[in-house]
Amino acid sequence: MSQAGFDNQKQSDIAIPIWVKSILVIGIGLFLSQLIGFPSILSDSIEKNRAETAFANGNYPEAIENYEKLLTSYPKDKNLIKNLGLSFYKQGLYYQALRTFEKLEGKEIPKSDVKVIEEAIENMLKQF
Amino acid sequence: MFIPGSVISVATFPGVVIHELAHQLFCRAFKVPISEVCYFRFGNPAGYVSHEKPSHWTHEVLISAGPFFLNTFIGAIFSFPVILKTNFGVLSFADCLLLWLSVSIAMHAIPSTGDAKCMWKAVSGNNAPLIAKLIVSPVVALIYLLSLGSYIWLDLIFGVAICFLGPTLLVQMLS
Repeated sequence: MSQAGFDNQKQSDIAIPIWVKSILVIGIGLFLSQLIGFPSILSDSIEKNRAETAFANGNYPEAIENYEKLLTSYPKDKNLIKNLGLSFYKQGLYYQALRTFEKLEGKEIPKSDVKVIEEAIENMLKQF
Repeated sequence: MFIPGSVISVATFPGVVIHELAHQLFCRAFKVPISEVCYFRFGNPAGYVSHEKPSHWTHEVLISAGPFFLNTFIGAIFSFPVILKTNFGVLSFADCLLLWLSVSIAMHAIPSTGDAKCMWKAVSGNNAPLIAKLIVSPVVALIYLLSLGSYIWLDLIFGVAICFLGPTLLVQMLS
């Protein structure tokens, strides 16, 4: 908040205290330290975005390619595993889909995802 | 969920500090003498800058609006390297610290109703031409509206949006 109209105590300026400067210094330090890994996380995010776009557009071969690349860097990412499994399923690659969904066994995943995966597995088992 | 403003101010104190620092730096930029700066305190307002009346109404408006520019800028910049990591859920302690710092700073970008009063005072009466009143009055109205919006966490939503906007747009552009 700024309050105007204090004429009685004329002072040209007030120095910025060290503790205020240190908040900025800590922020800049953290920012610079995180900047080191930024190029790789940016390229991974671009890859993920491409994979999601391909999946949404029904371009499953491209989605599979991108999700597989991402899973080499993030092998425990449940969302990537789920989407890769669904891409295999949509592409008709049931064996690979089942092998992918197996990786989610024992892991906590949202109920909505469980439902989608269960439906896919049911459909695949009917085909066998 | 209702959480008292003082608790939010404590939890996001770097934002309050940078908010007051912005007022101070804008005072410096326009060579307006400052009599007192409180960067943070337990109370309402959580911080303030007391300064002399600027020579021109634009200076008063910009001093009051200073946090919008500085907090938004710092919040957006600090969050840049860490936001994309949230896509993969691989946040370290340092990432979480930087994320908290960024959101705290960005959510205090919106000028307070006290700042809005100063803006209005600067353009009211014969202090400024009609065009100034036409420009500043919607801004003042917007600040009051956003102040009411803080009851529904609009300040936090604004802070999070500022932090996510840049990196998300960059990924969309490069994809």
